[in-house]
Amino acid sequence: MKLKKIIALLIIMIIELSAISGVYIILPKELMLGQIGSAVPNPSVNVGDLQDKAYTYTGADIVVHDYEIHIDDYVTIVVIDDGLTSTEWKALEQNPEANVDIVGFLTETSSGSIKYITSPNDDYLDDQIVHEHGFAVISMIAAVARDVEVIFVDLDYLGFDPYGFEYGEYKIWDWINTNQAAKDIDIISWSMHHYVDFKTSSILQKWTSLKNKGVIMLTGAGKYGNYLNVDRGISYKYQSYYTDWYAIGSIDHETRSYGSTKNQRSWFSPWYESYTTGNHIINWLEPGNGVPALVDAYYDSSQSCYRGTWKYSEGTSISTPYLAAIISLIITGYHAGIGSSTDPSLQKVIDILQYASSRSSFDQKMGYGYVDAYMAYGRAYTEGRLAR
Amino acid sequence: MYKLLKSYFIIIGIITLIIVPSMVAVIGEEPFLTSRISEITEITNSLDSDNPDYFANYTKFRITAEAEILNQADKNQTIIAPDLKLWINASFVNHSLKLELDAMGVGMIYYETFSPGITVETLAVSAFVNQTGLTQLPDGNYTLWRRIEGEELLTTISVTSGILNITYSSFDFQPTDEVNLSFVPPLVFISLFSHAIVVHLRRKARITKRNL
Repeated sequence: MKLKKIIALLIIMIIELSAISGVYIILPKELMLGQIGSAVPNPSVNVGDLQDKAYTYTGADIVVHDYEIHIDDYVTIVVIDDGLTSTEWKALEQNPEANVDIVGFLTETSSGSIKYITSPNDDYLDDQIVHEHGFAVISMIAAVARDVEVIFVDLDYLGFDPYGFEYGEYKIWDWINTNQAAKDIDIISWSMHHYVDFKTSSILQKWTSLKNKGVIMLTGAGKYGNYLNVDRGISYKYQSYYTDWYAIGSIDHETRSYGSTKNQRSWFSPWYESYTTGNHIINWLEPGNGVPALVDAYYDSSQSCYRGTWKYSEGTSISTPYLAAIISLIITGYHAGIGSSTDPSLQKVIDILQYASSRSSFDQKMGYGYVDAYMAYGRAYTEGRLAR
Repeated sequence: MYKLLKSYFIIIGIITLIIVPSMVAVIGEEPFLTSRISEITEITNSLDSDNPDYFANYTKFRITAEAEILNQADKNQTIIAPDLKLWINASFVNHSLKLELDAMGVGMIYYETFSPGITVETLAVSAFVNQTGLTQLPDGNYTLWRRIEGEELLTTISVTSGILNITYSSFDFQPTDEVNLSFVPPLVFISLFSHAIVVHLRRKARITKRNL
């Protein structure tokens, strides 16, 4: 009898062992990755109808899908990034699930002159070497801010491209400031960071001028998941740390796996100061851990259009355009409420963002939490009505 | 004696079952990756004055190099890609000079996968030196390496009166200290099997005693 019990125990132990052998192949790397890099299933529903949890978390699905709010003709976002090819440009405008209207591509030629391209068929785009990041960033805007106008500012990433602006160039700010009114620029979204402090009095002057014109400047907080976004002793805090910029971190919109908890800061999201004076802080978080973004632009002959593949991505590179898209909805809502193209002031936009924030108090690592798109749009419309 | 042995085997089995998986989950795989610079192919300088306030007092250098990544494991290794793959630091003879990396990054998390064996890639790094009009790297000692989650072998550049003396590192092909967990299942099996044998022998001894 006892031997039978022991044999039974042995069998149970062996079954447990087989379960453990399963644990051997689940390594931290895979746990950390979760769904990152995998294709978004059924993109027409999850992205087209915004049913992915990354969108339902902020209520963007209600505003954009249920209420069918698309961005009006009086909102323009400037995206500063690594590059954009002709195929990517067309894919962002023709992608069946969601798209934007790219009205211009600003770059600097190898001789130092400024070139503004308005057609995706311009041969100049063929020489882009470093790109893809910009494509993913704008696709995030496309998902939530349908039809919004985008001006792309092209950077020469680490000297690999034959043209493009240097990271800290004054010319970028001079051009944006000069053309702000003519191009109706409302938002600047920059999902990159740098170690060198390029801030100068002339650049500061342009930033202040843009703020005074009502432009809100958003920057990704970084990706090193620590204080001041430090990697191997160097702090990538330009431009996140500076007063004129609103730094955006990432929040987990769902509990994904290793190191991820719903409603908490994502593992890679850095933070800045604990005091709010001077705005050297994380201002808000938006989903950035497992959010659909476009990769690999191509021509789809079966549908006769350019498009890309939606894959789950991670980084504050995604959180930043997410908030830029919500601000586009705020401005559109305000326009609808007031019945004209009069923009809300920068302070009004900030007040609406604060009203729709998930936190009423500031936290060093989470700022004011995430902005709820549904609450923000409703408030913006009401503010517009009140301002009539 | 037998009871003590039985408890011992059961406790060992349970501890192994509980602790080992936790250890595996925490430690994971060793990266097995080693990087080195195999050749510096180009060093250029530019008197970049695009930013009138910042670059006016600097010379920008750009170093292009061939890097090799050795994956000594027998399967692909995936790691988080650093923003800046090629790094350089410097110790100048002229102590008033300093070097600032043109360290630009994106907020997106990217991963890179290396197949078993050696992967070759071309990389570049730019850095600013706080003096205008430099036509060559200032005298001093420079260290260059390919960032990786693993062992980074250094390349040193010694510059004296403008003459470069470059020392490259080579891979050491000695087998790495591989984390081998294959001993765990046999250990548990031996433990349980020994227990079964002990109980069986005890029962047999009792039966033999009774028969006597």
